Amino acid sequence: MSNTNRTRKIVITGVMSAISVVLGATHLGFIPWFSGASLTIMHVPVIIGAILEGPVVGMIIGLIFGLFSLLQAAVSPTGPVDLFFTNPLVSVLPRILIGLTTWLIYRAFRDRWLPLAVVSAPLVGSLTNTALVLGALGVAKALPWELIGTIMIANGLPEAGAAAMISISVIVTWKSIGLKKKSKLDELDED
Amino acid sequence: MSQFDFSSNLSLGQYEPLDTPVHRLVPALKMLSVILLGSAVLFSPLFPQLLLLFLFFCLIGWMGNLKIRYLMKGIRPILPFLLLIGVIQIFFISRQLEGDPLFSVWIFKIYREDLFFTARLFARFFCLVLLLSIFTSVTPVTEISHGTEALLKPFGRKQALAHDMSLVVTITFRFIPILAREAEHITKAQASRGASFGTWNMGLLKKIRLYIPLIIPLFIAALERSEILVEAMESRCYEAGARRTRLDEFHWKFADWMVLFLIIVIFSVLFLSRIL
Repeated sequence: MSNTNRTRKIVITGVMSAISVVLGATHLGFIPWFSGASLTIMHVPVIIGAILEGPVVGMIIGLIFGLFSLLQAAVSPTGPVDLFFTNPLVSVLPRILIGLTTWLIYRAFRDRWLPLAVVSAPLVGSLTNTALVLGALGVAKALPWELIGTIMIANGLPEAGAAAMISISVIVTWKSIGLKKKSKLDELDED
Repeated sequence: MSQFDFSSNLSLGQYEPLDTPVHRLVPALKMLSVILLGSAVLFSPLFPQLLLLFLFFCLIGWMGNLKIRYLMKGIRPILPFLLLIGVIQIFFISRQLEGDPLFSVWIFKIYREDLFFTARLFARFFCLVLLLSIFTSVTPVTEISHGTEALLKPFGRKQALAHDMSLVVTITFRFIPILAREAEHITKAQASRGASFGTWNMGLLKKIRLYIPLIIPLFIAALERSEILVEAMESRCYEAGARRTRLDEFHWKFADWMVLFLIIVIFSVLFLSRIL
């Protein structure tokens, strides 16, 4: 790994973590939705970090994001679920795994058909977040399983859609700006 | 205009600049204590361990010259929700129960286990709230990056990992206010072009569509800034993984070793009381 690459990894990790903290702390990261509970897009920085710079970066952003949501749940709780987010198994562990699954899917499809990789990786990453957080809430006996299933369908799927849409727009825009010399995504943006 | 004011609404705990024995501890020790005591809270049963831990945290808060009521004030807005959670926990979550219900009202039955479970849940929550509030009150941001480096040193093969992580933490903290201001600018810019933030009485779909021109420029601006930062660091000959020194060094004093010993003893006693 060249040194520029390593510096870039460090900086992107820090900046993306900062975005997820800002999205959470300013409540910009919550999109109002029909079901009453808001959709969250705070995990989008983890997905973008994992796709742009690899699994380690994604997992570290996830770790920082998780720790901050734990801290925020305890220091300035805003809703009933914050009671359970003080448990690191709910707030930290699932977020670390987002980076991993996103990157795995991205790598699996990257060489075959890039558009598929760019579309499917954020979807899978976002579903990882929803499924694991809700699963952990279920294991911690926070919510009844039936309710969790409903939330998964009513919030999880649109959340995955929203996260994927934002990640795709950001990645396509960013990659085609041309700060990197050669971008494989250039052909995506020719309309 | 208050709805545009993102940077002043950041709610992540407040550092109290005081000079007390708790504030003077080495940062790595503060973080290690939070990790150990926090995990102790998560596996401790209700009585007497959680109660004792709560009193111990109150003692730390008192030594740090912090008001317990001030530390717990974050909970106040969610108290009604907590009541709701309590009701759900007691009545709607089915567990494998032994014995007869304690008492029953109409079709609702209250079991001993349910009550205990709910009480333990709340006790854990209050303990963690107190612990983390104390931590954010006594630890400034710079100490957190110092502490990260010190704690990760044993794991880094060439000492580089620890330094990289502490730099990541520093960049994160430095960028939080910058990006909050950036978000504020973007919101204002969109509002001045006619986007109706602030008047939230509109259809939901319209509301959702408002978010796209907010979030995506925020990400792009952040990525641009990070690219500029990389260039700035490189042009100043920053070399990732190189050995470097610190402006402030924290030295472990006798009191720090004593506190470390005390915390480890408390942790082991709680752990042993759980498994024995």
